[in-house]
Amino acid sequence: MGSLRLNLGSGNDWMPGIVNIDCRNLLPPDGITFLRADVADLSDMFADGCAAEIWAKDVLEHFPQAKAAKLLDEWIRLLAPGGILHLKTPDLTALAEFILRGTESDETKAYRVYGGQDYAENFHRAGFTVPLLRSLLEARGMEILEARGHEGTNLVITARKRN
Amino acid sequence: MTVTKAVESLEGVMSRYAWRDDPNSIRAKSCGACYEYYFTYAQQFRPAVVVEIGVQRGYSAIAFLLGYPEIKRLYLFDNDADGYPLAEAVRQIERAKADLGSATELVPVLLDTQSVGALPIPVPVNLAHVDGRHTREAASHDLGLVAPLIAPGGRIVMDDLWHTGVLEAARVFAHEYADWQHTTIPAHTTHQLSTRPR
Repeated sequence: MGSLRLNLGSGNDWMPGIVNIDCRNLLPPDGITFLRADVADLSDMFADGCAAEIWAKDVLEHFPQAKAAKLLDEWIRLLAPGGILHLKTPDLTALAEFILRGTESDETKAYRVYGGQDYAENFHRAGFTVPLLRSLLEARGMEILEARGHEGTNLVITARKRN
Repeated sequence: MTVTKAVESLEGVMSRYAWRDDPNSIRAKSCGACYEYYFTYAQQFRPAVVVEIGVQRGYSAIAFLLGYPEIKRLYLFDNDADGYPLAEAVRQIERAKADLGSATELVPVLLDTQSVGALPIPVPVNLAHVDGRHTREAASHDLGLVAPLIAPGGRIVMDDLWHTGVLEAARVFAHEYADWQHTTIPAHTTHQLSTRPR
């Protein structure tokens, strides 16, 4: 398995020693490798099974719900057998509790649900629960290593592509 | 464009970068020759997809771009082991692109090519520049990675044959790929140009 590691939809959450990819024309700080590309389709750019590890933090929710399966297909395609996928996305269950019981302002609650909305791609268009995302991944041959909801208002899943 | 004018334009663009005083830069007389060849290769071969293993400061990539700003995609592989970040080289190459009005898509890939059995590239490659680790084993490995990707009529430039290990790797490659055309260019650090038959 290769050592290629990708941070998909990096935004300004830069990861050193890794290829950070985002659809926007961002200016990374010194020493950060950045590639501008559409993370929904890297088929023209990267071969199947090329990556050892992929991060997609706060990315899934920015695409339509109906596109989630295709997105996961694409990211899993990039992974080598045994490769690891790290996902972080808003947890619908945690968000519902946050809205009903949270002491934050209504503006903050709206922000958590709908996104920052300060540029075209920064709108939330989908929501997930741990069981929903787990089932999507398992249906694609991924082994769940870790799945936690209620990480604040997010869920975090780490999964491995089966050999 | 004549060779003289090409070299002038090459130096003109190069001289605007932060590393213009680098003694290894393209402006240094002792090092200009290989870049002039790279410029000419790109200009003559007009490659759509170029792969470079070992980007270092990006001089070779810029020479390719200057020769043919219409390169569609330029893969840049480096592992930052030489202490010069790939990110910084990409920034310089982006500046060259802006100077040239080039729309070439740069694909920087932080990767130790010695750790992989195949490059993460899905499409045929028209020109590959191999300038990674300079041991016989490493150079052979890198040549083995790019050779299967080369399109019919495509080329591999193997740099720095003045390193014994690289020279041996280049000779073994020429022996193993006997149906390709291999030319040794004795300019500066000496490189080998290998052309896959059509």
